[in-house]
Amino acid sequence: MKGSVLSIEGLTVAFGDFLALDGVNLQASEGEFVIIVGPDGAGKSTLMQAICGLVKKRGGVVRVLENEIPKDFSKVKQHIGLLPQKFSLYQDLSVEENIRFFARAFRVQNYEREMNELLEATGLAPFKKRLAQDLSGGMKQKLALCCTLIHKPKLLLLDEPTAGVDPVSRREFLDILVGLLEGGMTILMSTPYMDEAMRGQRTVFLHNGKVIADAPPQALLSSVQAIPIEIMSPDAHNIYEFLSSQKGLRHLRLVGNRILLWSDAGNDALENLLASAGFSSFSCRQTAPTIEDVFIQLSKEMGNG
Amino acid sequence: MAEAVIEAKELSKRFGDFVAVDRVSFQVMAGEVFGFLGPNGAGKTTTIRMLCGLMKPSSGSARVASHDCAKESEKVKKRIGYMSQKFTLYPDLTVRENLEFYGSIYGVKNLKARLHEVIGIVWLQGLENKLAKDLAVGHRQRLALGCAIVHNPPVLFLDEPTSGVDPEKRRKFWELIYELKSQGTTILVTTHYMDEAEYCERLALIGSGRILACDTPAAIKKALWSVQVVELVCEPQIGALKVLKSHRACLFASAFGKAIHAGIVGGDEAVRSVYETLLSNGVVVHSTSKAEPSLEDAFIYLVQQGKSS
Repeated sequence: MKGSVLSIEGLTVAFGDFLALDGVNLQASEGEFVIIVGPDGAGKSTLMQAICGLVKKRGGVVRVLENEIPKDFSKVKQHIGLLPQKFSLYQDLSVEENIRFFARAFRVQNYEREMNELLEATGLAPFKKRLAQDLSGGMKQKLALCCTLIHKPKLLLLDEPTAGVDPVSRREFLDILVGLLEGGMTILMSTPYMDEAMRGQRTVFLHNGKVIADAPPQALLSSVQAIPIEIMSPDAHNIYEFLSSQKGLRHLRLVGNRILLWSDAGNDALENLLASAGFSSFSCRQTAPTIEDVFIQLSKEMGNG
Repeated sequence: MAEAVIEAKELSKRFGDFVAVDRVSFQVMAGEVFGFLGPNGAGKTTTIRMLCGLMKPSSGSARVASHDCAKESEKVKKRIGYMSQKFTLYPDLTVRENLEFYGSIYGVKNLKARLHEVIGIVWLQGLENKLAKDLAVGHRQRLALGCAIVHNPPVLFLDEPTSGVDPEKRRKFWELIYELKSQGTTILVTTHYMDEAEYCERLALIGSGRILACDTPAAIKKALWSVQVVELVCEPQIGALKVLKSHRACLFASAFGKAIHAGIVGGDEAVRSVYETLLSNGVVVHSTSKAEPSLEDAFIYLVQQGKSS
């Protein structure tokens, strides 16, 4: 059993009447990569801030490496690294100078080797003399990550690091994390992108301040209790009208000449249904559920329950 | 044959030395839902601004609804609706007042009847007298759409209309888009969500101001036909990534949880060669299986092709 790095029980944070976090439970152990997925306003940033003791909680317990936050934050602050959504770099300092600045702020001794390793891992080594203001968006973000890592935190918190980052830089960024995880670091990363849920070892869905799912992404995918089907037809509009009146079909959507739906029965049953209703030019195909399907199913269940 | 309602020819925009939009050409046909997919800074918004007549191109030209976007920008503006990333609503006005305001700017005739109609189209019945600031995000988004279509424009530009909206509301919003299409509206949508792009009938993939590909989402993914996407579970993962990224047959490799997705060209033989290279570098391969290529894979592939050509 690996040691607990983060333990959150019943965390509630309120701003006035608004419950930003509502009884959140979350555990993370050494070397784990947990991804927090949720739309804007779900409570992702508040959760990150609460772990660092930056917001006042109304209830619940937050522990980092067995130390209670915020009471004993000073004991663990050396072990936490937070990359906020809007990170700040010193624009008129070079890449290297920015890292040195953060190293000194955290009173890190002998960080030369660590710094060079980080520069290598992030591909910033050739640019270490360049001013931060002259870096591209993706490079700035990698520099911010280096600054967050120079004190070798055990728990790394990344608040929407990939929002608005181009796909190539996004993949590079996520690949850098692999090395950190193998070194035993625990990473908590938030994202508004559903497809990024697949990147972690565990996915936590946050919706209106509540955790509505916490499981490995593959387990979430197999929890979809329906068969997603795609129908293509030049006659899609009429098929859509017809299917709207049928039972056992959910999430019926008309998208151009495509119809997407969830069926309790399979593909064949649907083909037969359409054929017996007199439709001829169409093709049906079973598709794999997406992580977005899972989110929608769960948020519906929450809404009804 | 449908006519082109939006047409860009070698459209370019330079800011000093920086080329934001680089000789972009494409056509959007009447009644089409056309997507602009690309990361932030790729030039999506700049292109839309030029098409809306809000910004003059540095070179090249564009026509929207039969008018030149630079020379006849006033005529273009009357025929388009534009919903920006940051919806511009008046927080202290009600739903109806916001629509009324935009309607009066455009000089909409029979405004009262039209307001009633628009409220129906964007599903805001019952919320007419609510202040915009008190609306939920999803409702605010639909009100912004209502404001963009109050003058019944034949062409609609939606600039990242669903950023940060939860998935269910996003799907609802797309239903609305297709309802407008079925009434004959031509729609150009920008997005940086790969999964959302699949909703468009045709797509232009934009990177660094250039169009990398322009086709249906299915056809764009077929561009990857020569690439096998293989899912590998390896140990150590970081070592495997390094080996894969430096292998000639491997176009891309990236971590997905405990697994790696690698795009390999050259058929089964190449896959075998990659596998052997991993082993000879001391990587333990626990499992390999085939994976479905995603639109993001296609994007990465096309960006890399663009770099090497």
